[in-house]
Amino acid sequence: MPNEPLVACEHLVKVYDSPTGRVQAVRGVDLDIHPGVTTAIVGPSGSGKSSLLRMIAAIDVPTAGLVTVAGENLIEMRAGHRAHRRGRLLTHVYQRPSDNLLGHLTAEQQLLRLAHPRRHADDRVRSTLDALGLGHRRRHVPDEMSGGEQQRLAFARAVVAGHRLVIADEPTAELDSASADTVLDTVDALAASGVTVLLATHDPRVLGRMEQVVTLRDGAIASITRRGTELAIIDRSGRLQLPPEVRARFPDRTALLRWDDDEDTLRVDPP
Amino acid sequence: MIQRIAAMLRWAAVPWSQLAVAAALIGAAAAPAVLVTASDIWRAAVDDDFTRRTVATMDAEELGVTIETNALMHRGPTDGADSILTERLRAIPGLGDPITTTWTGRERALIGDDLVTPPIPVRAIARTGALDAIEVVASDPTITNGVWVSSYLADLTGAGVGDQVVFDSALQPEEPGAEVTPSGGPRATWPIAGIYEPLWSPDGAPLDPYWQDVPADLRPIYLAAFNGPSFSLLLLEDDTMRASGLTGFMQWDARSVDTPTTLLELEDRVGEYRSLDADLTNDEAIAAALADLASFRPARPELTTGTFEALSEIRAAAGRLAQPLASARTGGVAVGLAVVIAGALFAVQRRRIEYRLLAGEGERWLATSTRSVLQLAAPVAVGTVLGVGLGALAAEWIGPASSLRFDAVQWPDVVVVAVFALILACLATGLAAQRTLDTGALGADSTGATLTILAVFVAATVFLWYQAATIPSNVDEAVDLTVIALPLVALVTGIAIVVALLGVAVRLGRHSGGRLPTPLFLAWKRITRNDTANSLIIGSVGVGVGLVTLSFMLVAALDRVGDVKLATTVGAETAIELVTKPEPNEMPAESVIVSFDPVQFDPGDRAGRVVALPSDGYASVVDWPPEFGLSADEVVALVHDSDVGDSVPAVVVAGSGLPRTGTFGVQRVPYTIVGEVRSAPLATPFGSTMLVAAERVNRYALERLADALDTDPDDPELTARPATDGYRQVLVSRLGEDELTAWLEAGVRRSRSTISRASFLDTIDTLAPRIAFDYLRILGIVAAVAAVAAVVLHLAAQRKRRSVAAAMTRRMGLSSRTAAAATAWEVTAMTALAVTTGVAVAVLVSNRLLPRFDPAPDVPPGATITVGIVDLAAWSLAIVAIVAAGVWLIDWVAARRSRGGVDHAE
Repeated sequence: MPNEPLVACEHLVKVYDSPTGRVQAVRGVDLDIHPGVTTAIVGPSGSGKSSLLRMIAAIDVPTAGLVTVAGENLIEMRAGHRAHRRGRLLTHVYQRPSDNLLGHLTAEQQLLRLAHPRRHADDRVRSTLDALGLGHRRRHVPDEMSGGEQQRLAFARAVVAGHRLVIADEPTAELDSASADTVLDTVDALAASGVTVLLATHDPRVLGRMEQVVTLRDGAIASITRRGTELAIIDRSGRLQLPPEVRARFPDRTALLRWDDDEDTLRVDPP
Repeated sequence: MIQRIAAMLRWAAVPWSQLAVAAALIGAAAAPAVLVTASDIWRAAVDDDFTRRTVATMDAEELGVTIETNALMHRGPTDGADSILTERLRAIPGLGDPITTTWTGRERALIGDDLVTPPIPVRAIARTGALDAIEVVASDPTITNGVWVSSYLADLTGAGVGDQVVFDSALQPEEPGAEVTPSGGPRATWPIAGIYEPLWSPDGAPLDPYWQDVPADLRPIYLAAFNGPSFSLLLLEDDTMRASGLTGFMQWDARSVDTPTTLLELEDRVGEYRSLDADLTNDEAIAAALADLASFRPARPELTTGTFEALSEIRAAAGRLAQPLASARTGGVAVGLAVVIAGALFAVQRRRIEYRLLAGEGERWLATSTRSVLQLAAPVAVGTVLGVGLGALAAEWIGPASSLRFDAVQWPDVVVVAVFALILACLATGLAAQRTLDTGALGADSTGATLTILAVFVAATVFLWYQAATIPSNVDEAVDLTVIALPLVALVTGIAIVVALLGVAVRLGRHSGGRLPTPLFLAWKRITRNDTANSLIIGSVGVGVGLVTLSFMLVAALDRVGDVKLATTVGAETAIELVTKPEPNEMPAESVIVSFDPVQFDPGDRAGRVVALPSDGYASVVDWPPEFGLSADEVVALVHDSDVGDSVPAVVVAGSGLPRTGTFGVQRVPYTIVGEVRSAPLATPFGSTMLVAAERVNRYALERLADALDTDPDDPELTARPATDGYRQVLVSRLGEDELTAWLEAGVRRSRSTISRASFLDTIDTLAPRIAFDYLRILGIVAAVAAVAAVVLHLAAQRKRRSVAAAMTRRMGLSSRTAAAATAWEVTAMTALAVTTGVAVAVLVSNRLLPRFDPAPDVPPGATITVGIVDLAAWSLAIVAIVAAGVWLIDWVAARRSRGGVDHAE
C-alpha cells in the first residue's frame, strides 16, 4: 500500500444546527484512504456516513478538522476554484441512478462532455462503454436504460474524466441483485485501473467486495476492517482504539504495551 | 457536430418538457412585461385624455393654421404664392381645402355715377368662395372685373350697378360736391358688378356661416352713432384683385377637418405646422414666392395656430404626471423582476437533480448561468409577448385606455426589460444551481443571515415610514419612489416578521395538535414544518393581496377625500359668489344662498368666518358627508331652534378653539356654541369657522336696531335689508356651471368667482395620485396572480414529494377526501395568515401615505382612511375562500387521477 493517502481526514467534526438543537454528526474522525483501495463506509442510519462523504467531496464544510484529497484542501479554496478542482478530482455517484445522468443526453454524450483530455475522447468513450458492456446503449438516453446500466454509466464517468476518486452513496440500494453485481463489477474494474472508490453502503454484498470497511457509530469510527481483518485504530494523537471484543478483555481499561524488537510487534497485555 | 447541435437543442428544450417549469418561467417573464407595457399605455392614455379635453375646447380654425403676409397685388406674384402655399397646405393631413383671402388696408373710395360724394372708408377683399356666400340685391352678369358693394353703401352713396368705384389710398375728404384730385398713388377703378345684403347684422352675427371665420381685420364694427359699419367691404373676384396693383395682405386659412384625438396625432399635426413655418423662410421656392409679394415692406409671413399653445399646455400637464408614473413603473418593474427571479429559482428547484449533478462536476455558477441563456431565452421571449398582451389588456380594463394601444408601447424598453429579466433569471439559475449542491452547508450561518436581512428590512421600513411623512409642496411630486417602496418594503417586512414568528410557533407547537381532527392535524404538521415553500407562499400571497388592498383603499380614499374637500370648498355642484343677493323669486332651482362674513371672535380676538345658513333648502342642497359629523338637518335645527336666551346659537367647526360663549363681528353678536362639526360647506381653512342661522342673526340685529330706534322690530322698513345681506353671498347649487352661467347672463347678474366640482376633479392635483395608484393596482394583481401560481406550483411539487407518504397514509385508511381537506386546510391557513398580514400592513401604510395626496391639506377635515371592517373582512374571506376551494378542487381531482401513481408508490 503506498504511503501517501489519496484522502486524508484529521479530527473531522461536523455539527449541524437543527430546530431541535445541535446535532454532532461526525465526531473527530481520522481516516486515510490510499490510492486504488476500495473502501466502504458502513454504519447505522445517523452514524455520520453521508456527512463524512459530503465533507470528503467538499460539498459540506467540517465544523473542525481537516480533509485533503490528493493533497489538496478543497474546503479552503474559493468557491469557483473548489468547484473546478472537485470537477477534476472526483466523481460523485448518488443512490438513485437517474440522479447521476442528464436526462436529455445519450450515454455517449454523457461521457463525452466530461472526457479529459479531449484528445481521442470519442475513442476512449466508445472503448469505456464497450468495456462496461454498455456499447449497445451508446445512443440511448437514461430513460431507455435499466437502473444498473445507468449506475454503471455513472461510474464510467470517472474513467473518461480521468478522476482518481469516486465517492458513491449507497450505489446499489435501488438495484436488484443482478444489477448490483454488474455495478460492483464496474467498481472492481475501476479499482483495477487505479481509481479509488469510497462508498457508503448497507449492502452486505458490497462489503464483501471491498478492500477496506470503515464502521461508523455515533459519528466516530468504531472499527476498520481490511481484507477481513479488523484493525485497532491509532489516532493522530497516538491513542489506540481497540475493537470491542478485545476491549472486553481489559475490564479496568488499562493495558500493558510492549514493543518486541525481535518480532517487530506491539503487544497489548492485561496489566 | 450534428450530435452536439442536437444535444444543445435538447438542452434548450428541457424546460418545455415540464409543464410546471415552463409555466413558471413564462408567467414570471410576463410579469415585468405586463408592468412596462401597462405603464407605457397608461401614460399614453392619460396624455390622450388631456389632449381630448384640450382639443374639445378648440374650434376648427384654432386647430387649423393661418398664414398671413403683406402683398403687392400683381398677377404673377400673387398667383405664384397662392399656388405654392395652397399646395403645401393641402399636403398636411387633417386640414381642409385652404381659403385664400386677399385684401387691402382700410382705404377710401369714391363711389357713384358722378363721384362727387365724400370718400367712403372701405376695404377691398377677394376671398375664395366669397361671392357664393352673399345675398344678391342687384347685379349685372355682363360686367367683368367689377366690384360688389353692400346695399348699405349703395344706399349711402346712391350708387347702382354699372357705376364706377375709384379706390385710392391717398384720397382725402373734400367738401361735398367738390372735385377730387387723384393722388397719383396706387389706385384702381372698377365698375359695380353687383350689390349685396350686408354680411353682418348690427350685433355682429354673420348672415352666412362663411363670414364667421374671415380675418378679424375684415369685420367692421357697427357704429350706432352713424347707424352703420365702421367700413364697407368691396368684394372682388380673385382675378380682379390680383390685377389691381394695390398693396395689401394675403392670407391662407386651412381649417381642421379631422380633430386630433391622441397626443401623437396632435404632435404630428404640430410637427407639420412647424415644418411649414420653417419652410416659409427656409424653403427656397416658398421664400422666393413670398418675396415676390413684397409691397410696401419686406414680406413677413406669419403662421398662427392654436395648436402650439395647446400642445405646450398638454405637455406641461402630462409632464407633471411623468414623475408619479415613472415612480410607479420603477417599483412595478422591480417587483416584476423579483417574480422572474422567483420563477427561475422554482425552475432550479424542480430540476435540482440536474443542477446538482452539474455543480458536482465542477461547473461554476457563471458557466451554468451562461448555458441557461439557451434554455431560458425562449420562455422569457414567450412570457414577454404574453406580458405585453396582458399589459395592454390591463391598461384597457383597469386603466384609462379606451382600446388596446400597442402603438403606445415603448418597444425598446420592453426589450431592455426582457433582456434584463433573462440575465437575472440566468444569474439566479447559476447561483441557485450551486446551492443545490451546497445546500445550507457552505454558506454562512443561515439563522444569522436571515436575522440580518430582516433587520435591514425593518430599518428600511422605518426609514421609509418617516420619509413618507414629508409632504412635498407639489402634489405631483408626492408620488415618488418612497410611495412605491414603502408598501413593498413594509409588506415584505411584515410578512417576514410573521414567518419568523411562525418559526417560533414551530418550536412551540410541533409536538402538539394530537387531538385535532385528522385533516387539521395533518395540516398543522405540514404548516409547522416551516419550510421555504410555506414562507414563499405566505410572502407572495401577502404581498399581492396587500398591494391590491392598498391600491383599492388609496384610490377609494382619494375619491372620498376629494368629495369631502369639495363639500367644504364648493358645498354642492357649483358655488358662485354673487355681487348682490338675488330676490327669492329669481333663485335658480336646487340652490340656496349661504352668506359668510370674515369676523373677529371675542374673547380671544380670533380671526375667522361666520357662515349664515338659510333655514329652507339648505340641508337638501348642500353636500354633507358623514365625515363632517352630525348631519345637515341636525345642524340647521341646532342653529335655528336652540334656546340660548338672547344670544345666537352656533355650531363650530372642530379645532376653532372658541370659548362656548362670546361675540363675533363689529356688531358684537353674542353667540353660544351648541354643537361642533369637523367641517362644513364654506368653512375657512384660515381661522375659526362658526355656523349660525341667518334668521337668528338677522333677528338679533333687528331687535338691537329697533331698541336703538325705539321702534317695532317687525317694522317693514327695518326688515327690508337684513343684516346678513351685508355678508358675502354665495349661491350654492346642485346645478352645473353652464346652467348657472346662463342664469347669470339671463339676469345680467354679476359674480365674483365660480367654483365647481367638475373643474376641481379634473385638476392634475387630484388626477396624479389617482392615476399612479390605479397603476399600482396592476402591480398588486400581478403579485396576486404570481401568488396563486405559486400556490398551484407548490401543490404540484408537494404532490410528487408526498407520493410515498400519501400511499402510506392511504394504506392506513386515509381517504382522498380527507387528504384533500388536509391540503385545503393547510393552504387556507397559510393564505389566511398572508391575507391578514397583507391587509393589516396595507391599512397602516395607506393611512401613512394618504396625507401626501390631500389635494387641499388646509381645508378641513384632514384626510383619513376609514377602514370598512366589514368590507375588509369580506374581501379577505373571499380570497381565502377562493384559494381554499381551488386548492381543494385541484387536490381532490389530482388525487383521484393519480390513484395509479399512488399504487405504484405503494
